[in-house]
Amino acid sequence: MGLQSRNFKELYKKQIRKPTLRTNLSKATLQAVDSRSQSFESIDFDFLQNQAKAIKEETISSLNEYLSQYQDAAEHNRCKVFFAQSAEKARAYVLDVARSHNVHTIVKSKSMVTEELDLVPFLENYGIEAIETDLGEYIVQLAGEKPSHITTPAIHKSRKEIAELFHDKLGSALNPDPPFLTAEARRVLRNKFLSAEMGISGANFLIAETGDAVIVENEGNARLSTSAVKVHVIVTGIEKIIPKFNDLRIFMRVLGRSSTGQKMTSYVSLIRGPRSAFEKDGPEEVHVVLVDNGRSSLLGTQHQEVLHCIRCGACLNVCPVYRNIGGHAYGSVYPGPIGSLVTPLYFGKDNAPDLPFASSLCGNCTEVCPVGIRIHHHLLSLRRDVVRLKKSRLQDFVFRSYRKAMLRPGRYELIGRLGGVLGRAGLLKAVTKGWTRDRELPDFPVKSFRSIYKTGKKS
Amino acid sequence: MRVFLFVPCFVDQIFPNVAVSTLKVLEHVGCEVIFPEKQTCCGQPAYNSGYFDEARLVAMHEVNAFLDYRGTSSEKSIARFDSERDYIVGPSGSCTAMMRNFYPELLKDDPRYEEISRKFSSRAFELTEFISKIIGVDRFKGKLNITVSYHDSCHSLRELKVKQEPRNILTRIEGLKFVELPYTEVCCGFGGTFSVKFPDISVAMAEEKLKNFRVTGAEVLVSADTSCLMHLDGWARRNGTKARFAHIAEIMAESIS
Repeated sequence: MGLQSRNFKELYKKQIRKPTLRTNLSKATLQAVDSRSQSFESIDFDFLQNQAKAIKEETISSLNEYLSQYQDAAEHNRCKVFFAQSAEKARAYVLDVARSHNVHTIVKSKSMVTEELDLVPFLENYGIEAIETDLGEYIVQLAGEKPSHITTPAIHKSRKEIAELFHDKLGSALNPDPPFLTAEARRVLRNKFLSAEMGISGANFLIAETGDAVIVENEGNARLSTSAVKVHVIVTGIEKIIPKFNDLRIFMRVLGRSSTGQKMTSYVSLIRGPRSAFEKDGPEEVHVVLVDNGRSSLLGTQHQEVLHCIRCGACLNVCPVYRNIGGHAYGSVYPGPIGSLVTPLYFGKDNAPDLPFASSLCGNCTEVCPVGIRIHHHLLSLRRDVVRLKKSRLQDFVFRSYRKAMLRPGRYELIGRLGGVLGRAGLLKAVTKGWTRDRELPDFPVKSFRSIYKTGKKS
Repeated sequence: MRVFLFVPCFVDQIFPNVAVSTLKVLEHVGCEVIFPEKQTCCGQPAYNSGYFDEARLVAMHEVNAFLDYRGTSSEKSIARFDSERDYIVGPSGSCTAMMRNFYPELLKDDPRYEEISRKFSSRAFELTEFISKIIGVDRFKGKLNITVSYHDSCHSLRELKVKQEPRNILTRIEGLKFVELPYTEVCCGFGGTFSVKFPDISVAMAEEKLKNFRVTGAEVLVSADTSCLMHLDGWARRNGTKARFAHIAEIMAESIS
């Protein structure tokens, strides 16, 4: 599908008009927000946020050292580590692995990086079936869509819509009951797990000290798709490194709470490497594809801390803009506030010029970020970059005039009073269409405060 | 206590009653109030639109309007701003956040302004936090029979960390009934130029806010930011929703008259 963020304005208008979308999203995100707050009640969020931020700061500021430490450890554990500079190289490597094992079917667990790479359609072009096994991912795959949220891919769909989808695609009875729908998905997926030769997963964390890949999930599908196959390929971003095993204790406490309001997710898998001579199960080969794809361009810049992100999705859930337009509006696999940073920063500012502006700067994203990314401050400074990159004569004129007026109090007052006269005569509507299409202008007073103040002082 | 009154540009030009009320409230709690007339705008419209150079010049003008103020001939004392003693107070969480949190960032590369902006920024207060933290809320007394609910503006709440202060003030007013607004911490959708760049998203957020306001059954929705109120009022009037929107300074001023 590729990056569509340049069309944000058309995309969001289409989404916001969908009658059920806002209802579905409001219900789901507000519930997630409530669960999140409750789960942090008994624990010191500020303390954990500071700790998590400090660990990430340390990691990202010496990322190359930690990456090579990780590589040594993982290779020592008999994993094959591949650094992919670009999306093409990552895709080609995965295809190579699949072909060398004569793979026909792949079971995939949830991974945003594979979405970023468009890996599934790529493999399918080469005749390899890749099935999403996370329930939400499976739903969007059946629907021929992309995920609309980082952690809850099918958040834009109601149960009823999912039941209709299963009815159409799987011939299931029209039953919107979640246990029924889950059982239907399980029925189909179970066979895929049994026949697949290869598994692809992401990783939430890679531990430099030990070479472990950590996968956090709730459905057990990630564990199954990484252990019941001959070959396991982990595809993840270079920023997922943490230095020490012990650091996990901080991230384990914030990740589940921030995502779904869970103190702990149902499954946490630590994968150290392929099956050893003493083990009965597990894959014979484990590959780790470390994807850069624009990430390293942030190193040493003022936006470096955006690489702290652990993809919890909390900023999406609290974002009132996201709640009204949904993830598909952003035209990128990374939607919401963090997506409005990641998309232009990884894939080019000229490819997503509107995204930094798609925020009321309410700052709720920054408030909940478990790794302390000042999301709305970064959005602000990206706005400056976009303005410099993409000249708009009208806008330049408006703000030049604004500056000229504001530097001269006399001129400012004159313009303000003139505006008042025009406003009272109803003549401002034509130039304020963005406002007046859906809102009334305020009543314009005869006197400004400063003129009232002046008069008051004389009397 | 001497206060240099800061009046946001659109309050000055479109909502003068908010500034008149602020002046009245400040005098009521015993402040000597000075309005430096060279002030215009804090620079936020340009800053939030990515026009940092324009914002910087306007911000410098604003800083100078206060710090270089020498008083008018009609003022008895030489009203020179003393950053050890005097305060800058305005009826806006958003513009105060600009002055306090964003000026130091915006002006940091200018050798002269780093210190000045720090001195200036640390003296800038939003009205309700000034009354609560500096004056003491017990200095304020009022009486008004009214039912109100309160909308937390994002900049008050998240940039200035003001949450309890306006509530403490409102609930001190005799006869006033306070009803908490569901999801009060969710943005109203104004967001400066966001409101005209993405009007459909902006008004969808206003719609949610007013839905929650109706649940409270209150007569007036109060806030410490006129911009949120202008946006909500504009939407309500277009859609035939009968509600009053008032700045907290207006309610306070009404309660002491």
